[in-house]
Amino acid sequence: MATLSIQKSNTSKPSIHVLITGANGFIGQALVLELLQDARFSIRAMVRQNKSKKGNVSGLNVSYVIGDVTDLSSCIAATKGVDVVYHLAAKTSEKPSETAASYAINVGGTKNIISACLVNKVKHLVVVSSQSTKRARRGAYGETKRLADLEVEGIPAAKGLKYTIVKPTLVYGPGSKGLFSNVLKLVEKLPIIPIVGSGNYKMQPVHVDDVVVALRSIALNSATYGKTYDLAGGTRLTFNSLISTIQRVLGTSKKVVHVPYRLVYSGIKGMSLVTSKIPVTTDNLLGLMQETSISLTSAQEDFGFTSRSFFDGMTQSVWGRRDSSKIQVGIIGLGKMGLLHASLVNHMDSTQLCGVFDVNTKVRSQIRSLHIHAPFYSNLALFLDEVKPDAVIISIPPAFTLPTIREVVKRGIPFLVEKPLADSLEHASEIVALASEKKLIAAVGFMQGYTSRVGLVVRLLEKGVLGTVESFEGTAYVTQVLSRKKGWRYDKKTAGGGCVSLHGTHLLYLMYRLFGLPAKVGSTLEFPYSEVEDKAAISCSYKNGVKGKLRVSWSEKGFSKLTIGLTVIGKNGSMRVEDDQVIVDLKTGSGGYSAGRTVICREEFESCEFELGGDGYYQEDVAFVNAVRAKGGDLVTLQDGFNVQKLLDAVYKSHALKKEVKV
Amino acid sequence: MKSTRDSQKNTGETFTVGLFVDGAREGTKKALIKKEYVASRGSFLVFNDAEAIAAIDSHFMSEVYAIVPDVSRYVRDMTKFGPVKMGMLKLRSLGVLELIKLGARHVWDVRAVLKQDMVKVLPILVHLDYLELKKVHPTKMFLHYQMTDLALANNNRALIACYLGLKKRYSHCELGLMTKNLTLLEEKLREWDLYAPSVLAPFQSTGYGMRTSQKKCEGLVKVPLRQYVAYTYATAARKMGEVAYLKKIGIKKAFVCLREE
Repeated sequence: MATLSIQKSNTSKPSIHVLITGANGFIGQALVLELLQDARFSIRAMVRQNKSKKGNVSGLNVSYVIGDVTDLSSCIAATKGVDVVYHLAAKTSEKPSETAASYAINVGGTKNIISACLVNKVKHLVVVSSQSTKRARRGAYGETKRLADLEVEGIPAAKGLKYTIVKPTLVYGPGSKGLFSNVLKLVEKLPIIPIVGSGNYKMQPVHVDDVVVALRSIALNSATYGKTYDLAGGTRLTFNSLISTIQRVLGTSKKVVHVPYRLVYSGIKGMSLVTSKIPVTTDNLLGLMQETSISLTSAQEDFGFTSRSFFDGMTQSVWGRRDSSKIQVGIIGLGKMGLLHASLVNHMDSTQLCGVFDVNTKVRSQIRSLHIHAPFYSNLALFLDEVKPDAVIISIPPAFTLPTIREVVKRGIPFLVEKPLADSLEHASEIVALASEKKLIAAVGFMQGYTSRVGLVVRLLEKGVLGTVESFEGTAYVTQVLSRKKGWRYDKKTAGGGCVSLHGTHLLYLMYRLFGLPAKVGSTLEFPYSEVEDKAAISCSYKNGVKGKLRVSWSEKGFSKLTIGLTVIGKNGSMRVEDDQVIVDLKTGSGGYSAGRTVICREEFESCEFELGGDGYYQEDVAFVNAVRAKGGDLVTLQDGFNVQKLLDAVYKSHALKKEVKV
Repeated sequence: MKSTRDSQKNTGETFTVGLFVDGAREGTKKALIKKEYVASRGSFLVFNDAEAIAAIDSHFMSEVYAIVPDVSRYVRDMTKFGPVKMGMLKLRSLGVLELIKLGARHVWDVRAVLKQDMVKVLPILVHLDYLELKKVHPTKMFLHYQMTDLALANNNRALIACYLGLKKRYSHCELGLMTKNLTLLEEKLREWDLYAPSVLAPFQSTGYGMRTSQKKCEGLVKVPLRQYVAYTYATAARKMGEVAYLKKIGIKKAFVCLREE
């Protein structure tokens, strides 16, 4: 094992040459990545045996040294020309037969590293120790690390080798290594989560990124020479709170069961006789149960140590780092529309999906299988307070829109709410008032407003291609309800209405966009299958004499998908607006269109960059996100949504009063 | 492997245009298929649609490309009947042998299916569609664009890999992907190291639906990694123009959905 082979050279010209022992371990890999970001460092990683042991550090701009800390000659060879040694290599095995190896690696290895540093005149030795050395009851790991610390502390000052020892608490972070990843796996996989003892023992886990930032700051920092530092996270919490925080971040809500400490300890001891592959060792257990006194003052003073809260660290570990250059979007409601918006947010370059909320926890596994990876919440206030989204998209039944928007507005978060705006005009009015009071960017999800088809029709009418508009007729048909139905869509209280509220609002929005609000509305509703209307006949009249008729039904046979059509009749001809084409019939040529029939197919409208769920949705989300970023933009506003709600309200009022009503 | 793939590319095949049975109102499909049978040379692109399948089945020889699973129909049925009743109705429509086969194949996935894990649900939905489509012996089955594009949006390799992995189960029928985001799909397939022998995507002389650009989509057809099957919408008057465009850019197989004027 005395051989040394440097397999890849660093071509940059850095000023600090470092060696990392245990570079392929959990902290070692993170340290390599951290130091790589700093051009001052040239990194040599000491790994055992072969390339496959390099782990995630393989392929990086790092020199690899094959060596073993138990072999002095390989330590000497590895430390040649090095300024700083980070000594991370350690043995954590639980097997009694490997206690000797623990001593050889943890104590003997440290001795060898010290000797090698002295031989090669290394300037600074940074040793990663453990809080377990401070505990009264220590396992093999704690005891050997304590002895190793004594060896380091015994380096004579006259020899010129400076040392620093750090004692992190339980280190957690992304990846599949370390005790924490084992705990995560157990929480994810087990139907019930076992907690050792009462679970009231406190701990202060530290994120691996905070540890490695500290290690980088320590290198050749004379203020740290000859000192020992505690490194701990920003939250001190009980094991019970730790498990509940993990569950919150993972979006699980499993039951916990408290298991007596003795039973668990004996169980692990017994298992360790059979296998070394046990998720939690007795050393881990001893570490959990015995609190240590931690002081971060000297670390904060000497190298400005800071650490993140456990919740933030956990969220980052499980769901990835938040990209501050992107708009952080949260999704409220994970029905069909919520999933669509979540996927669009996932796809857009300018956004990051930071969290999702739904009262139904069962959708959690569905969204995971769709790769919608974000923290899942079933408590709205907690979701908004912890995730702190820059913007939210709300896709929930209309009855819940107002209370949800109250919470969102209270926190000053811009929002896009799916249509219709609310379940009643009164609630819609309150939503508009709430958002305008806070001057928030807010939009309503009438996606038609973002399609080029509607833009084209508006332009044609503005140009006066049809001459003076006299009347219009529109339909919105789909085959959806042909018998009695159950569910929130068919409940007046939750949905706010039936086919007019769900599908007819698209038509009402189109009418409002093209002609504005009518003066009067009359309606007749039919309820053959539901508590809410299944069919509607609506008439509208405008002050300028324009008359309109609309028919809406979700009980119309032969319409496998929602089909919307609107015919506008003017003095110079007519225009038929359909989902996929606009047909213009003119008596005399106008606005660049010749007399007779012109069919403008959907294919002639401009195309968007990405499509999911149909025309308009991607453009709608892009427009909303751009408006949030620019603090303003061309959106379907809450006022537009409120005006459509006025129409909706007039439709229901007219039916109830059996006469035309003013809008 | 290379020779198999070469034979599936756009090269060396004659250009054929079939009928895309989409958008036609219920009750009109039988007449449409009958009317267009000769013009389309018996070649049809269909969803799992009982009316269309029955109409095609009544003809002696047909070539059928299918789009599975019919997501819109499942959503509609779910709204109509609720998830439990829809599942029961579906299962009741199967033969005893198929029911046993399905049960044996997915017995370990019951929990995941109940949790609506899409990777576990997808093979079942595809198989349920196939059981109805097999009457007309589909030669290709394309994953519905709503599924493909959902997977693209969420960088979900597992879902696409799961679908393409079903090819062993349907050895007599090629499995391809349908998308409305062709160039993104190509990028992702390369990144995910997955191979789909054919892709169904919109191609239109105006460039509509050809994402991210008409030029890029046309470029893919010129250097084909796989067979690109085009679908397009056109009125009877515009059909010939669209067909000429598809032929010009090198498409060998296309389906036109006729739109009423």
